[in-house]
Amino acid sequence: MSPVPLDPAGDPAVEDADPPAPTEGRSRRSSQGDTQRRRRGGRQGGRQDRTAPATDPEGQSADAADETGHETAQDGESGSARGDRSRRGDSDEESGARRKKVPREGIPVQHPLIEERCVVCHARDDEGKMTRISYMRKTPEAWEISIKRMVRLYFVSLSPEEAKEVVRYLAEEHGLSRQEARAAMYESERRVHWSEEDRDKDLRETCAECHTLGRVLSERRDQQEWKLLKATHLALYPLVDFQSFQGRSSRGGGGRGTTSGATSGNAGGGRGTPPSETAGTSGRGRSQDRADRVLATLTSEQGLFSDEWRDWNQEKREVPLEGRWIVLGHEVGRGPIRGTLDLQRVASGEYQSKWTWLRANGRTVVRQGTGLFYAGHSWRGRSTSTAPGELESLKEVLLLDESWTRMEGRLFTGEYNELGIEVELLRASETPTILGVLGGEMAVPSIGNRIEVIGSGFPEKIVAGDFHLGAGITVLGAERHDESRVNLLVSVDSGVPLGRRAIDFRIHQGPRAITLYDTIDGIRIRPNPGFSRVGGKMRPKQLERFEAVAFTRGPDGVPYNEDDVELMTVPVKWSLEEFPIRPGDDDLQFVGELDSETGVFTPAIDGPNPERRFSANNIGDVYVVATCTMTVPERLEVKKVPDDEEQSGDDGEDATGEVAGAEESTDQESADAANKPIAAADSPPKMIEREFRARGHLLVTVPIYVQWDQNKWNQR
Amino acid sequence: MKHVRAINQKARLIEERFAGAEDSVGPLAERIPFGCSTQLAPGWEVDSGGGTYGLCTPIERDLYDCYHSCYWPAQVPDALTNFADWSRSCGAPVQDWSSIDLVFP
Repeated sequence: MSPVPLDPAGDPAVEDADPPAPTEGRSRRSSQGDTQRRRRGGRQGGRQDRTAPATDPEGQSADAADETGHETAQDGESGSARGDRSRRGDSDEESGARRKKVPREGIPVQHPLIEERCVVCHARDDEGKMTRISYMRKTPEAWEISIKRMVRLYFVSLSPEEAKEVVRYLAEEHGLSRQEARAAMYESERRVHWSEEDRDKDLRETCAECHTLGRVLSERRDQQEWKLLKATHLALYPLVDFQSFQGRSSRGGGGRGTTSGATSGNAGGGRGTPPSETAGTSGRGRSQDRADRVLATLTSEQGLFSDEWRDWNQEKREVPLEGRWIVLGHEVGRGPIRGTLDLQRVASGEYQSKWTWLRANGRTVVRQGTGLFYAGHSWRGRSTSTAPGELESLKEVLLLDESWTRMEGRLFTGEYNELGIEVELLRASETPTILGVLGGEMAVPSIGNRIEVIGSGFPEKIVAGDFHLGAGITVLGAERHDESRVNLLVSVDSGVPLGRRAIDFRIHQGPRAITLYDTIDGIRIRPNPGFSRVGGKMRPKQLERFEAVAFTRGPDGVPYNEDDVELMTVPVKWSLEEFPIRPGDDDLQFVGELDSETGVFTPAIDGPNPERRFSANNIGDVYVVATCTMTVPERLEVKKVPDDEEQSGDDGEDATGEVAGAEESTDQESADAANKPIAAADSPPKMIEREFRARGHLLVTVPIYVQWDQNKWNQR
Repeated sequence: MKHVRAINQKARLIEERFAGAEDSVGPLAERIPFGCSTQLAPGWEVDSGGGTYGLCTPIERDLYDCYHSCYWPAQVPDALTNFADWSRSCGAPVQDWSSIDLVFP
């Protein structure tokens, strides 16, 4: 393995990049049309800057369109697009309107290093606005990607410390607001498991063919900049035009929609379509394509300025993080953690950190690290630990909430950032506050439940009556461990309604962290589907970790649907089964091994496997199977007494509204006792031993040959 | 198929596998040769069906096609813009796949 370093010095600020994929575009077709589009894209996105020796297609387009620091009334059109229109001979009235200059609002750049190193390509006007840079805002990670590209392709000379300084300035002054950053958190957190299915279909098909939409959510731009983003894609990866940008309807001869036609010029090249279809929307013989429609939406939804960002910009101050934070977290496969984070300020926005965790197995872990705080809401840090069995180095991505009292985020590591810990943090204070509860899942009825309350400011003298969990739930005892942890002994009366309950302390309202259930209806595997990549030669393997969580049927009385209520994780035995897709499917033999005790899947080695048909890679689909035996309460149900003949017919519902024989509507094997009859409702539950089994899907797939994240971007 | 002749080992394997099979629609999955399939529009990691069956495999066979055509610029180094020399260290990825480089943009 011989990396291709951008910066031999190992720039900590610049080395880290976008993990999922900062580049775009794919197409397999090579045709004359593609060549023509490539030329058009290159011309449009890459018009030569007269003064700049570098050839940044973004910067050049921007310079061309923004040489005077203004834009036309047709805000956002590139210079070439305007030239095309005037060649077409638009009416004098339209041309006059376009010639009318309107000020282009931007964010001045006031950093000597950026002014010095970037001005070669990014012209600076009298107000301090620099082309491209002043008209976009991004997360720290997104700015790093941009800086790295400038270093890689346009020979920008920056030392590691300088690059870090540039990224930090831009992330501060040209960063996202809190809400904007929250929407892009899953990108910054480098999550492996997320879903963008609810996002706009056009947006997904245009952008997410190659990278996550988190990349898009990590940026805010004005209209012209969004269009230049498309030009950049076309210049750097010209085949993206056919593969993704055009969209099927555009390929078929014209855009399908005209809703954004008034604001979206044609920034791309494209194959010719009849003039009647292109009139008014394009100067290149093609109507707006899917990317244009998406850009129009992004312009309105992710514009350069937002009220929240303006407010923050006016009220900006250093948000103090120093002090103690209470931590509550969960690591898949390893259970909960609780503890503290102590932050010590060493400079403006820079902290030394000390994490002290208590694991589920009772082990105490101390981690030391550093971190930076961006834009008043975003923490980026790193901590290390040499304790055996602990993840040695963890990156930290946290978001501070509006009240400055809570943070949440992910700590992660792994070749593909696949090993992570979800954490919530609460600023320690003298005001009693409950952050969360461990062991808050209790059967109805039950006695002797021991739950641990995690929070802050618990006074030394605490009695059981200080805690309120609702009618029918009695706190029999309270034992204060320290100001952040209290153990409770709780009983639950019979007949208490099932569902969520809040836990309150004296006059302080707490979270709905108590769950009451009658019995366990099944177990589920998370994550599902699991995801792993073969490796070991070209780059390390991507591991996957599983855990099983018990659940009870929800209010609808039917298990295995969205109404189910997840309870606690449970110990299980793990195994793999074939996921048959084709006759003779043999993936199970080759994809890797699942530890039967820990639920950790280790994929097989990468590369062609001569033992497989066609020397296929060791990729494939398998089932992950979890089995366990638990002693659970037998469900107490009252059979419906039919009021009349009609109701006693085949409607299948009992007196509680529960569907009889609900398990028949599912394919899960553990539903066999979902509606067991029948005992008096007020009698103590009979404990029965049940076997549970669940299956999940595991995909073992190919590696990625580009490592966008070198995991060093916050090291000092 | 009378106008198509198998010229390499893999093609002959395919031919042998379906020898005697009538031209019929299904099972479709068995008919699709390994490799990129425009019908299925496979993604890099997961195919259109949410699994791995429709993916290129072995990926090393198709890797340089992706490289030269910028087909997966986020997953494979692209020859056009960023990594023009990537293929130098490995001339035949199917045979010499262990010398394929990981790049760090």
